[in-house]
Amino acid sequence: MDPQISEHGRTPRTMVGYNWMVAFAVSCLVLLSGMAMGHAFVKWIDTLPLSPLPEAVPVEVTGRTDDRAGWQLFAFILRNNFAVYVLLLFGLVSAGSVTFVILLGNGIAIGQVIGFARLAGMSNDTLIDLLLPHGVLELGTLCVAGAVGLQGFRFVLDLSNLGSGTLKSLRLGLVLGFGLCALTVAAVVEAFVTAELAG
Amino acid sequence: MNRVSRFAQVGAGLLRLVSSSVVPVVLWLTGLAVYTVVGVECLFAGREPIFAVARLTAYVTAGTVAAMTVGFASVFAIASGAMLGWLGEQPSPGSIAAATARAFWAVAAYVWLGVALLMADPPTGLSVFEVAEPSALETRFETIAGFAWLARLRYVALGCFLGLVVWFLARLSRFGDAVLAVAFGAALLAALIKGLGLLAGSP
Repeated sequence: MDPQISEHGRTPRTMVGYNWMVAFAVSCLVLLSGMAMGHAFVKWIDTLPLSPLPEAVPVEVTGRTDDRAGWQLFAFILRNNFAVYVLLLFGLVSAGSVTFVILLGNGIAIGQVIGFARLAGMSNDTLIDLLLPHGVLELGTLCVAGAVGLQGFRFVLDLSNLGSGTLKSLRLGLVLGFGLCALTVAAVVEAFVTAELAG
Repeated sequence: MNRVSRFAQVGAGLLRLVSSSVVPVVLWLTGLAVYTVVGVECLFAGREPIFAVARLTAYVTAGTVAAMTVGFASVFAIASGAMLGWLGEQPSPGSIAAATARAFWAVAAYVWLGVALLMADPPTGLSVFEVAEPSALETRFETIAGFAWLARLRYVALGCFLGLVVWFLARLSRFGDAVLAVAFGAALLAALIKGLGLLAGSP
């Protein structure tokens, strides 16, 4: 039997791919669970007795963002999303706990936003128009970082076999480069396309 | 004679408890959970929906803080261990992790002090206006002993944590090397936190 092939019939390369796919699926699942929890929470809130809220300060809403405001919004979105992306990688040194909590927390926040928007009467079509263009790329990229961060759990189970090879197999440079590029594109879409649609 | 041996057994048990690396972390986590529950349930006691949202946000934030603390402590331990290795010492990764975990006695004591202060002087519930207005919320927090004192004592707790790590590492290596390793770990962590803060800051 070829020594490169494990008892399960998988080569080391396919094992790495298999581990990545499982971790990516788990991170998507955690994010989706958070979204479901956030949405369910808003539904529960809707059943609570309402009391008069303090009068909100009126905010002037302009239909179209000028270029300068658009670029400021782009920089703000990119910085925040990239900070979350980097934080998700902290799961590597915390047995995946940081990644799990941040994915779940972000899922809850997104679920709440969707729930409140629906509660306010926003149609599903409008929601899809506002979330889908940047959401698929943005959340997909965060799930890639989640897949890397969740590998920390596997590392803890296999501490004695950790070495420089393990670190190299993560391709952290590639992961960071990919994250920056993908989140830049998502931020451009969110700041210019989504903002335009929302206006 | 029996009484003496019983005292010796209790003493040995206490010594094992103090030198354990799991107990301080569990104590810190329990303390943080109690502190969060007491603080959140007292402050956001209202029945309006805005309080429900505030409670959920506070619990998610507390969970994130706990996980981030574990992550930052791991980065600190890895950096300190790398510096010790560079200085020619050869402590095992397990012993560095144990030293860092045992130093959580300082953080656990700090969190439980907060719990005691909150229990002694429980905060009264916030009004809807205070929850909705960040500046009013901030002003209110400054008047609550459990929050104000913990904010003042955070550097004392950090100093005790670092001091304990030096003390535990000094048993495995030379004292000067242990101080240098902890200083490097702390500096790297401070730079990391500052960098993340700048990245996530407002435009």
